[in-house]
Amino acid sequence: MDTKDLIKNLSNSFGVTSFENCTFPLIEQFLLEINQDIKLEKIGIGNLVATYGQGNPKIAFFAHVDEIGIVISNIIDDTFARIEAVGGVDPRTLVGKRVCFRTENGEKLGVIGFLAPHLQKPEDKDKSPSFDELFVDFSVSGGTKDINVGDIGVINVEAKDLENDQIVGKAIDNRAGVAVLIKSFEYLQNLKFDGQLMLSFNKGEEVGLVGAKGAAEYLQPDYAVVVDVTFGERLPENVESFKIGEGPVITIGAPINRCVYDDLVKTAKDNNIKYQIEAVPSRSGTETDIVQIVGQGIKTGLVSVPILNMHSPSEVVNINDIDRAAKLLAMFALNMSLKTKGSLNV
Amino acid sequence: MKELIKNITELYGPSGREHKVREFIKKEINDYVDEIKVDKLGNLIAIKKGSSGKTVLFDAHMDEIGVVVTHIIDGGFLKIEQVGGQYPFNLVGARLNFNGRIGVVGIEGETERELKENYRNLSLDNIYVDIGVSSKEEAEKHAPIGTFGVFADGFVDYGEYCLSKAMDDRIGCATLIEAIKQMKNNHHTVIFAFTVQEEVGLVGAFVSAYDYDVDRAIAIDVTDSLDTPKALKRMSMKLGDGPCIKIKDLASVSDREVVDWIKDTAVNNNIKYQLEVLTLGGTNAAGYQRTKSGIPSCTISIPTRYIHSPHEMVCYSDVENTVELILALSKSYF
Amino acid sequence: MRKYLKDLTELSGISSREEKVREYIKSQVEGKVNNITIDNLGNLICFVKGKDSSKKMMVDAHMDEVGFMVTKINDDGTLGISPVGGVDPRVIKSQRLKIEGVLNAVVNSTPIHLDKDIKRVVKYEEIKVYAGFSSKEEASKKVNLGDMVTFDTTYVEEGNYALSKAFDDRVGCSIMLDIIDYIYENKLQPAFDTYFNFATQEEVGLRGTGVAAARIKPDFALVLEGTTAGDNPENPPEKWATHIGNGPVITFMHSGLVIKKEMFETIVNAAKALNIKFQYKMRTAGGTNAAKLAKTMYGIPAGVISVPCRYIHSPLAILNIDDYNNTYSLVKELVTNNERWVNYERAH
Repeated sequence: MDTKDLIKNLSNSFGVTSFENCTFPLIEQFLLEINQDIKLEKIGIGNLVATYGQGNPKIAFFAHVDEIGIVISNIIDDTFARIEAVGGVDPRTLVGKRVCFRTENGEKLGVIGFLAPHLQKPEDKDKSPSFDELFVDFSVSGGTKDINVGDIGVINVEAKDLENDQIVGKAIDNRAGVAVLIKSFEYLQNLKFDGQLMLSFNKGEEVGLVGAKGAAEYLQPDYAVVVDVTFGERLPENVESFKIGEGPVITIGAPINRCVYDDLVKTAKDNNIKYQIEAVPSRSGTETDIVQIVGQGIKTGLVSVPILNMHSPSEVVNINDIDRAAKLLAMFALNMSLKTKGSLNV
Repeated sequence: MKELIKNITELYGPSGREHKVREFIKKEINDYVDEIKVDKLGNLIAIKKGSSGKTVLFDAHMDEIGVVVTHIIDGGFLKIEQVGGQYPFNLVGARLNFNGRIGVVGIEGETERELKENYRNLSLDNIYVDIGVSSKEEAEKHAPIGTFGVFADGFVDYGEYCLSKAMDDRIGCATLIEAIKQMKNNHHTVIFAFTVQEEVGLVGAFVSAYDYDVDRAIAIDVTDSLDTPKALKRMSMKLGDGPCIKIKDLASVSDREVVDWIKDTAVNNNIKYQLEVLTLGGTNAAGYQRTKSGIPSCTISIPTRYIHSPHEMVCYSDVENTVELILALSKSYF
Repeated sequence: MRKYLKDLTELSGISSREEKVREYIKSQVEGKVNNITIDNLGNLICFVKGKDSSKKMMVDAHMDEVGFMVTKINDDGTLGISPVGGVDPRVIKSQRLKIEGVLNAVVNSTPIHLDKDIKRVVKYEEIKVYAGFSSKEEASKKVNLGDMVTFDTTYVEEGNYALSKAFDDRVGCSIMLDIIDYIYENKLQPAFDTYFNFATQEEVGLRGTGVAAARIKPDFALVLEGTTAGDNPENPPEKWATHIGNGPVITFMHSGLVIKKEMFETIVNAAKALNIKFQYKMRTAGGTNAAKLAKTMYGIPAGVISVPCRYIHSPLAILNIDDYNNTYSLVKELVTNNERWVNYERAH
């Protein structure tokens, strides 16, 4: 399966929080292309879980499917509407964008316009628009008569190639994670994995890590690895920064089980997989934070794909990092199963 | 229903001290339900059995916002902290009820400038409460440290509209009580959860469904109403346009399948409804989403003016329509 | 009584790195309790069978202290740190630290001669920790990303006061150890089947206690803390949370939770019955494991009893020894005397 095609298709898919069902069929299709022998089910608030194999150890990989977006909060008149964020949306990223809404009658195009510079007051030029000032213009799609409060939308962009194995698109957070899970499943087909692998594609991460909590509670795996994205930008002086293209980031810190961290690092070293290290003093801001403390506690690790421009329609990822993360996860699963069966001395 | 609304909103029941409300509700519903229990945190849970094989839970929180006495200073004045979200300007000029003792709020200021500054920047730190005593010892008798206070204002019936303190969320409790009394031949098993401590952190709703297998959970709460002069322009809810089906607020995004189910039920039963996007606040729906493996959840909100003030206003037809909607949902297959 | 307090407070154990504290506590309780379990989050659960086995009580104190984690190794050999739990950057200027409890280190402090603005708060982004390394390569030989950094503090006791780091919440752990000793040495049984939970990761979001409770499944709990006082000359009395010397602190409400009425009254009545001078926690800010327990499983009602301490979440906290002793007596009474719980049980 071509990783570039995979991530571009996933990126283009519409799956804002509460509409993850729109992206699930695509994920199911990719998984079934790899192996028909998986059990697909919806659990809890509707997370998609794919189960492969049986017995011990039970290993779960988590990736949230939902992306941030916007929702119509008020109709102003025949042409214009007001919006609210779904998840952490920087209102500045919406200015001058085409947006696409999912309505009862199909897709609807709108524009988030901005007053031309000629008409701007000088003192307003330093003020950033907040959600209270933004509005959507539906002139090009027949006005507001067929759009309602509650209709959800995304910024309308397509994924594109950049230089050096990089892709730019919306929703790389966290379709990159979804891609890692799918590719890791592909890698695993060539390995003698003897245990149960559960791929949990979760809902509602962007609004409170909601899906992962229920999924972890339901699945109760022996080991869990959460896959998400992290920053490829320069970070404050007192924390390590990461570079895209330098490999997946393996996290150590409070929400991480030490043994899982050690196993992930060893797996990366033993298999010559480029990786980077992140130290997290308290919360990681990912599903790891909630998965670790579910029930009687789950041994959890976190692997992140570094990206640029997080939470904008121009998120950038290096394809090689997705492949490396996928290989890391597959080899980790293999190692844990060998350890459990006693064949691997660690 | 007006008598019920009057009685239940006027009860003293701040977060963590909902006893009186619980006792009142128990008496009202006892003869109409198959099972009733109080859990370890004080949530009151009642069940009406059904045969569809599915279980739907409706939640309304019993607690109201309030204040709590943290210090008693010389002269018998009280210092308070908030219990739930309080706007300090709602406390100035209000009468507070400290479990039977009326208190009024004064503003500190040792100089004219300080006083003006404090008027502009009211906070719980620069106000105090006067309960009509002249010494610390006397104050300790009537409102010792740890005493909770609530707004003292009572119910007003305008006919089309009703006004009272604690519509948030006694109006939700009232609709559940009314629905329990009227509910016959429900298809689904319906659980009614009257929960505690919502205002301090959605506490009760995190645990009330623990002993049950719930298919869908719906919180009945209040939401903003934007039909007053120069109201927040980004939201759309209005009194009189029917119960609101919540799409999202800051604590949760509703499950879209549950939203569609409620919408279809309203349409099929000719019940007025509105869709709601709330740009602030949260409800107990967030607690049910996080119960065990997660319950698909939504909120049905009653539009209310002046939430978290001593005088919250609802439209009576919205309340009646909410009851109708709950009854219809108990019979609506999914 | 209080024989473990010095050792406990001097051990290094930030959230998720409590192993040194856990090992110490385990070695002190071995043989004195019926069962010891360490769970998936590192909570240390010690079970003692009670007189009335129809109820399970959980007594909880957290082992983790606030501190820092190494989050960067700079090219010049200095280290970048991030706080674990709430540590105000203003209390660490020019402080002495320990890495992994063994390596000495200091927080570099720009000389006053060179610092243009001494009114400015030095934030974590700029703070450099120096252990003597001159390059990243050299530092990486002995220090790793994720390493634990704690205050370098030794315990001092004089007259009626004690001074150390981490009273929040080694004081709670110490009281639990004292009670376990009391029960064991006097061949007694606690009132109910009792689980003493030495919890992990409280300071980073109350993360350990719920996991322990999921295993224990208690009917109710007592959470023991070292709580904030605020009674210094820069803070007016009506803003104090507590006053050291005024006795054990009984909480009626804190962040995220109002203590159940029956539980609150049970604790207050026990203090009154023992003629122990006590005080209420007079600010509702701050939270404890009780808030997490209330939202765990079926909802576990918990009471909160604390020793008041000045300057918590800093390298040097002070407590009053009479307060410690009285808190110990109060908690011991609630743990061992069934009579105290008669009214609580009646309400259920």
